[in-house]
Order: sequence, then structure tokens, then C-alpha cells
Amino acid sequence: MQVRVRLVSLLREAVGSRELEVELEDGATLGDLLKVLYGKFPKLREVIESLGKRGLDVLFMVNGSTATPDKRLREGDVITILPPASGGA
Amino acid sequence: MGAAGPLVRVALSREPVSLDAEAARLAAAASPRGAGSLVVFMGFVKGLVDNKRVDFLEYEAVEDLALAKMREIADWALRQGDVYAVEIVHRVGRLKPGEPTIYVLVVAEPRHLAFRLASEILDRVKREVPVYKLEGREDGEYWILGEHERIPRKK
Repeated sequence: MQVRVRLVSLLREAVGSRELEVELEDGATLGDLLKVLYGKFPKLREVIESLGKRGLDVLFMVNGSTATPDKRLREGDVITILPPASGGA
Repeated sequence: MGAAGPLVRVALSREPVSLDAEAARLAAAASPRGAGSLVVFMGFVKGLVDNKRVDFLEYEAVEDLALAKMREIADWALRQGDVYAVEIVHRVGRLKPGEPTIYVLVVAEPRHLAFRLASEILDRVKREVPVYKLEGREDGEYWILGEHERIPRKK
């Protein structure tokens, strides 16, 4: 099945793209997706881990709702990886 | 509050907003319903940070998620009392020092409610809306995450 991953800010720059299509086995979870992503883009894993060490944990959204790694994904799901926001004034 | 219902607008905009036009529009619409207080907050790009000259702030948003969250925040504000209008407009794109970054407009009675809500809406936008900035300074470019964490952009 295919899912879409959306990235912003330095995560987007680590991968070189705002959006990616990723092929997964049917029944794959968000955790499985992350393993595939980190395998293809070790720089992304490096950036997310270094953010985590600074207390800047990323949030994973599946189709607009927050999700944990055990969330089962479906064909066409949109996964957005969000670092802590910096909008406003 | 009248039959027409509250005035709500949330938007992401590459262009600045005319505050005169927006204030006049909201006041004209809310006045017949007994409102008389409009509070505006406008953020703008600082030209000096940590004693370093800022050349630009570049804002990017996850548009659908950002608009949904801004709408959720506006709807929350509408439930906090006699609130007649809420408008939240966040700029996106590359902005220079002095340029507006965000506008929050609230029409509510009494006026202390309008002041309080404008402040709380801004706090929630900063914490919850997926908008991100890249700061270009005389000493380099920095990804800004959270309230004030700076990560140097590697070229």
C-alpha cells in the first residue's frame, strides 16, 4: 500500500522534499513506516533524534489526528511529522 | 447577539492585511448587535535578536492542519462569553523586519474580555498551530522550533 508523508522545516530539508510517497506492506503501522523512512533517510533519523535530546520531540499526525507508533496505516493515509511549532509573533 | 451569528475568519496569507479595512468591517457588522470594543494584536518581524541584525523571517505552514487548528482556536474563543468576532490571519513566506507576521482581532463585550482573548488566542496559536520559521541573521540562518530554540541551518 502507498502512504504520503509530509515534512516541514529542518525535517523537510533533511530529506530534500516536502512530500514523499512510501510503499509499505498491508497492515503496516506508523512504527513500520518510520523504520522504512529512517532506512531511506538516515539524516532524518539523525535530526529527529538530536531534536529529541534537546526536548524538542516531534509529533506524528495521521490524517490530521495525533498518532502513536502502533497506529495501523491504510492505503492513502497522510502522515505529517511535526516539530514543535514556532509561529505567532 | 442577534440572528446573523458570529463573524469568524482564519487565514494564511502571503500578503499583509489592511487593518483599517478589517477593523471597519468587523465594527460595522458587530455594532448593530451591541458590541463596541475591538482589540487588535499585530506581531511583526524584529530587526534585532540577541544583538544580531535580522535580515528575514521565512514562515511555512502545513496549510490544512494550520487552518483547522486556527479554526478550532477561534471557535474556542467564541465560546468564552459575549464574543462577536474573531479573526486570525498568519502570514507565510519571507518577511522583512517590520513586516506584520500575525494579526488577531477580537470583538467582545466587555472590553477586558476582548483584551484577554486576543492574548490567549495568540498564546494558543504559538503553541498549537503548525507554522514554522527560518530566521536569517547577519551571523547565519537558524531554524526556530518551539518558543525560542535555534538550530543553525547547515549549508
